Amino acid sequence: MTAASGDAAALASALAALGFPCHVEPRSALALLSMSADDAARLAASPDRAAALALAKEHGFTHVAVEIGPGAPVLRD
Amino acid sequence: MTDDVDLLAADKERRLSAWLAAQGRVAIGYSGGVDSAYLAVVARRTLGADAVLAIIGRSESYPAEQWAAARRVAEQFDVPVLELRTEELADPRYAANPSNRCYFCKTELWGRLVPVARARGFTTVADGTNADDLGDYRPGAQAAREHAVVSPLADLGFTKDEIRRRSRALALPTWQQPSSPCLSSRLPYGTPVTAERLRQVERAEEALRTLGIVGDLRVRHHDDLARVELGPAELAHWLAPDAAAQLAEAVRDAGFARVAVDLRGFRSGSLNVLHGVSAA
Repeated sequence: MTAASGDAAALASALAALGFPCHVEPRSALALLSMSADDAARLAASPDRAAALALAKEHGFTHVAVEIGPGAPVLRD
Repeated sequence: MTDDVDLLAADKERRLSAWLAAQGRVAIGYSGGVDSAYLAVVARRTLGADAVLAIIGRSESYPAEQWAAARRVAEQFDVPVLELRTEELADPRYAANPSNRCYFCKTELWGRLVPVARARGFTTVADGTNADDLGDYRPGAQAAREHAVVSPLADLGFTKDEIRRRSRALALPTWQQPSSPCLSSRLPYGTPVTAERLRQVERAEEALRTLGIVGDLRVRHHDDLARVELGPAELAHWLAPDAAAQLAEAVRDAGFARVAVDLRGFRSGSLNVLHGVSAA
């Protein structure tokens, strides 16, 4: 029943090319993004949010979420 | 156009009242959500207090905040209420959280509610299913049919929008209330439903409401991770660094190690999509 995982590395490259360097942790069909707090805010407030969603879908993810909070890992790789 | 929609909705309400009058006595599965609150209030107005009974099934999957709202609406509109305890979490078929989990929940609900209603002389038992619901994946509807529970709002073609319009006309506080499915809907299929996980979700959502988040909100439970779905218009505000830190702290205090905000925002049935039950 659980959907297959998408291609995390390809999505991370695509998001970096869009101007949002980040780590992508695949959790089944959820792409969990770790990026700087400023980039997360910039992504949410710009038309690039729609582009990021489209990229995630293109790379096999149905959901994309940005990890937040003081303990959130940022660019752990 | 708006006037036409309002006229159509008002006409459906007249037909609903006629249907209720023909039943004589009606018991309603009542959660205090938009649909069942509307049905209960129209039934009370049509039939009087002696011929209607709103029955609440209480369990860990039913948010305390929603229970309180349900009681307030019932008191405001003089709708008689009966509460029953349901034990769906004790059913291993439910607790295993399969994609047809709702079937086992509703089987437990109606299995307790219908005999109580009948024993009190309510031959008709209704729920608040509306016409829009018929297009969704809702395995609970099968359990309703098996217990002869009827859905007059769906049968008369009431859409959610029409129910909200008529609720507003009747001054129900629920008219603009967000949809509020049970807490188990926040757990991905296959993640066992436990009282502790439901409490985590409930605490997190309560904390976010306290922070000032209004409108659609879901905290999806992914083991150590809480994935927060907000209305898309709220995203820019809550992903700004200071607000995001507040949001994360509130959700962590509810028992999650990690917190994330969904970039697409709220979508009903989100976990159905994640698990391939519904299309993306």
